[in-house]
Amino acid sequence: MPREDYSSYVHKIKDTFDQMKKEIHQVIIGQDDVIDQVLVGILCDGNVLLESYPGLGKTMLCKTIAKILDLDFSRIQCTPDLMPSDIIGTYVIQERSGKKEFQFQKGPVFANIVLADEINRATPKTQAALLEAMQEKQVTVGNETFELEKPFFVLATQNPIDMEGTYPLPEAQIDRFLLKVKVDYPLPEEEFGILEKYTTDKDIAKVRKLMSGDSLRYLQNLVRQVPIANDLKKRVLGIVVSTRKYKEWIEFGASPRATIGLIIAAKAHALINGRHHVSNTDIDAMAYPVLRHRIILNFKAEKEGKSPDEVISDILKKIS
Amino acid sequence: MLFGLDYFYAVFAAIIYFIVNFIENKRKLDLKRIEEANPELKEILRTAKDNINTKNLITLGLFEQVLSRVKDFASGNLLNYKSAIIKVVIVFSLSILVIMSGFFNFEIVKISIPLDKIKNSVYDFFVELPEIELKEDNKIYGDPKLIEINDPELFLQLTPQVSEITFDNIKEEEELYFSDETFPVEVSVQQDLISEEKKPFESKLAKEYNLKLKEMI
Repeated sequence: MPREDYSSYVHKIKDTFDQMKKEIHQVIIGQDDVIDQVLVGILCDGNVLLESYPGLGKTMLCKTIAKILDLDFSRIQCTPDLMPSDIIGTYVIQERSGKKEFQFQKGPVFANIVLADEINRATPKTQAALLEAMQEKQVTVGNETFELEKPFFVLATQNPIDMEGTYPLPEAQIDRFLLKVKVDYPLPEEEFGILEKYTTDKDIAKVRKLMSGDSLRYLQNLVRQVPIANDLKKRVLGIVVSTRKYKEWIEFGASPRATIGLIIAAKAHALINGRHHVSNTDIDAMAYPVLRHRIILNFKAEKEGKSPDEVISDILKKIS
Repeated sequence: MLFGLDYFYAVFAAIIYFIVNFIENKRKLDLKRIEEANPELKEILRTAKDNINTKNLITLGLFEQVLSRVKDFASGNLLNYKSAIIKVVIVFSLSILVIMSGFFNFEIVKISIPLDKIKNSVYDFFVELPEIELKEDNKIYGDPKLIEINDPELFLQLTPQVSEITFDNIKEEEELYFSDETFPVEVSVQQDLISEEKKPFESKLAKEYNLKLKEMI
């Protein structure tokens, strides 16, 4: 590759992601930060938990991204009676040349993008079935282990209200989500655009396939090559360690997995924004989705209505 | 002098300005401060430094970016053009004013620094003078009434002695008869040069008029 191409390479990646965002905006109006964070999660080869009130387009966003990336997509609607085998798959008896034998019937988890809708409605047993898939990228049924096709990531959604009959995700499982993305209500002008779009045309706009699975895997490897200065590594470490020492508001802080996650997420954020290096802006932007589900606030914070994002803001200001 | 100020003060002010300006510019050009003022540049340079031995697509791109920035960098980047232009304009205007003030002999503001007063007040402030006890003894301090006249101003009027009339040197009267031959051709008045200063304007005018009239005759 000629020398001149090195610096322009990152700009090409940025252009590709700008195109992807543009394509997503054909379906999803507004929600720029949410789109950015979900793309970062995918680029990091991580799992993303989307939390919002119903009707804000979480499922539609996941479907659109799957279409753009030209990947296999499956959706699991989680309910209290959903069984682990409904997700992973099960052995079924099949007759072949006069013989009956057990054959593994793959479940919806065998896809590149798995959308686990309303994950907190599934029982802990079913939620745990996703654990191995999310972390190890493999599933074990009986004595047999099946590798999941890469790229693989889980986009899960949960609803913060209507908590009756739900099973909040255990800490061990929630830590496996690289990012927790909060989807807020759209701005009035964005909502007007949604109104215009979805009350006139019956057909939802079709999106183009912009990236193949192989390209995505290549970019996922490239993310880890984005350089970061030692000062910034120390800052990330300081932020995560502070969550453990900030006893005024926090009961339990973030794990070392959060440190790794924050640096990788910052690298992906830098790449998407066309930078050859990680900057403080990337760290500040990714600290919220990486840390908000990894810190447990204490009683005082709960009593005073302090949110995890407010506590993270305090920490970021202190460690600047 | 533009401000009617002694050159010593101008040199003193210039030296102080030079020292302050030098220290301030040195502080501004401190590389650490340049980095603090450009956080993005700092991040790029630090990242490049910390990953100098890493060779991959992204770091090579980063090094290339740093090199291109270095190539684009000129010492002029450190100059604050706006402030430099303002300084040049001020210096130019002041120079013109100084030249003009010399040429037309004017002063913008007369600044007089009462050095004696300052010196005295400083001296009074730091040095405590012993209190003088006045005694009513004219042998030691002179006439006590004289103490009272130290404050009011004294006015002295000097009168020229030349135009004084002295009655001691009076000559005898003599008769003079004028004929056509003896009548003086030119009749002029010898004026007292000192008293001329005090003659009113009308007298001068009358003299000139008489002289003109005589010329015409």
